[in-house]
Amino acid sequence: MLEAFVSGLLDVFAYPTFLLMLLGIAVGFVVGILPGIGSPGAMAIMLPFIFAMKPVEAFAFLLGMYAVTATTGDITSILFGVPGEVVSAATIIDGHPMAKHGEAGRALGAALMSSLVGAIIGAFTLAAAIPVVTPLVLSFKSPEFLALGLLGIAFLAALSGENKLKGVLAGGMGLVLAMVGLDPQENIERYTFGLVGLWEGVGLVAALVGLFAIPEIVDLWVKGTSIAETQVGKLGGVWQGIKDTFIHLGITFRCSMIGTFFGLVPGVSGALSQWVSYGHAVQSASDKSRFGKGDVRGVLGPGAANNSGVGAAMIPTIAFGVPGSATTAILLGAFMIQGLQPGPKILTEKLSLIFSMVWLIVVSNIITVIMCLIFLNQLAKITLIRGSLLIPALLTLVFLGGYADTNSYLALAITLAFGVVGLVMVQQGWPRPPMVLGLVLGPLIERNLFISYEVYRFGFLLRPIVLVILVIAIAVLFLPNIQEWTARRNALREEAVVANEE
Amino acid sequence: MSRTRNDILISAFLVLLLVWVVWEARSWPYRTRLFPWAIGFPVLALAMIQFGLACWKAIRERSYVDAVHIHAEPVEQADGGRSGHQVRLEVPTGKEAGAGLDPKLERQRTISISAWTLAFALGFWLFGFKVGSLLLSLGFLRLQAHESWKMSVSYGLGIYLFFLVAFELALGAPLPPGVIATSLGLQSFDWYLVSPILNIILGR
Repeated sequence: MLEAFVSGLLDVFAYPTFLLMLLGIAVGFVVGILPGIGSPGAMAIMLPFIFAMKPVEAFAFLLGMYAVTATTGDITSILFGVPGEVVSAATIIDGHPMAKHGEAGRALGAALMSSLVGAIIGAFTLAAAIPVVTPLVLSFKSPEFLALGLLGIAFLAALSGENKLKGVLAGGMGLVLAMVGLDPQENIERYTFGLVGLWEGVGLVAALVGLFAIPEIVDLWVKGTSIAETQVGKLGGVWQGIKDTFIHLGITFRCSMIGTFFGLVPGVSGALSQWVSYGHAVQSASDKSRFGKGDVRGVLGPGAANNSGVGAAMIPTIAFGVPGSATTAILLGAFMIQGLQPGPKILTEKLSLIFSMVWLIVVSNIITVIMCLIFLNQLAKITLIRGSLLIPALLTLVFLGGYADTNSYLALAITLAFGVVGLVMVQQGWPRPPMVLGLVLGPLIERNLFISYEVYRFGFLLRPIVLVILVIAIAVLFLPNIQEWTARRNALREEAVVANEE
Repeated sequence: MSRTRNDILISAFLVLLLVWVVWEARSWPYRTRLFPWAIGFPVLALAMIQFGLACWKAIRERSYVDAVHIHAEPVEQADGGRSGHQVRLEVPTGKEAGAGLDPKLERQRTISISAWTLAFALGFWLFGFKVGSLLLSLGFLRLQAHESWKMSVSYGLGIYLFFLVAFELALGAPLPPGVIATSLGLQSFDWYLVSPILNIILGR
């Protein structure tokens, strides 16, 4: 394992892996800083570029991009009060007031350094988890992996809040879409309308860019211009922010652990961990008077939590094929494109690649922070780019991505169709991540279902671990509703008692 | 109401689609049919529940009077006149108010960008990626975004050069010329202009 750990590090610095990581970081900078293009959309747009890459190169490119979006998203949160990413929203509460009081540089320094500390903790949690989860994963058979696939969809559906039924339905539709093409057992056409172009399926990249990128492009145009209407002044005091991270190392460390924990649990998004971390930063402070008005501790907490979740979120994705967010679901798609299946095989045969991922997260975050510190003033100018200038390039990349997947013009129509589906889903409050996961996991679930049924018939449903996983999936979906219903019933009962007494 | 109505339409569409999915699988061998039925029937049941819920929500919303909240707050006239009640009606619209964006403008912009998205897809199909991206970027930036000629032309050429250099020269992966050129038995339209220049530059 130590050998894989070291070779993973060496692979990161090999040519062209390192250059591709730098390229991914550069894209991540722009994506993170510009609101409107989220990391799932950007990740989807960039997927076609990994076709010709080796696995380590592909993940250098994608993880370099993914790892920096949360960090750079903090920049706009602090400077303009506009989160570059959803996971950067909590940074606004204290970061933006600090900027208003002329402490923008200090807030940015604190956000960047705490992000780095968080990222390192999250990445090494991933490394430490591998020896722990490997025996567990190796003990699993097809029925367990089938149940885990369904659990993953349940987790993402549970993220849909009040629209959980829509979430489950979207996941189910993703599985249905995964059926399109030649069936893997008998090579019989399924739902292809006689089109040869659909024999290989709907095309994962075409579906992903359609579902995620097109709605974001529409949103970018609808919302209008750039986020910064004025030039940002010179940013000073950055070193003070860096020092603050170490002065309040306890908060940074604890919030990193909170982010790591939330990252480990699929379906509990980074969007939540930042708020819990912020709450912890406030609660643990003896003097709470400055919070909300520009307290640096309110920047350190969410900054650390965001980035520690990145490494931790990779654990369920790699080990069980259960991603916890839209971005990790798309990353799972990248595994499939690269011919890698999450689970026992990758944990035993591609250990060096997994450790490369750990190092990629660490190295890309270090580079990001250094680049941010050097070019902070220039980076802030990215926010002056008008959305309209990005649209032609994005649309071109979207359709090129769809086309490159299958080298067929039919992919343009499929991309467009998924774009319409994505737009409707956004406007009608239907969650997209479960559909993506259904589409990504469909072939794996079908194979595991087939093997399970062939070997155990319906007996596979009674295997203890399968039962436990399915109970967890049901609990994830229905427990919040049952709790809400019980609370409402208790409240009504109490009201009735009070009314009777009166 | 519009969102609820759309939910009914979407759920109904899903029900019909899933009925077709499970019906289509009936004649397949069991190995081919196993997954479509194992997934199709439960998802169909969920779609029917969703349809039922959407219909139920619509029926509830139809009782319009119930949906209108009347708030009567006592107010006193600033000039010392008779006090009275300020009545405020809250009618649920089914959609949260946008962040300060005029809904009409939002709709217009959505339609225009959707039309441009379609135009890009058609353009790539007709002219291929290199020429298509040049023409469509130029068109979008000039006609829709009202950018200057200088910006639009340099941007379009930039994208064209990216495709030429990255895909054709560096990766050696020629991009498709589009259906017009293909049906006429021609190379990509730009090839006739760019190829001689490249031959001179590369000394071929």
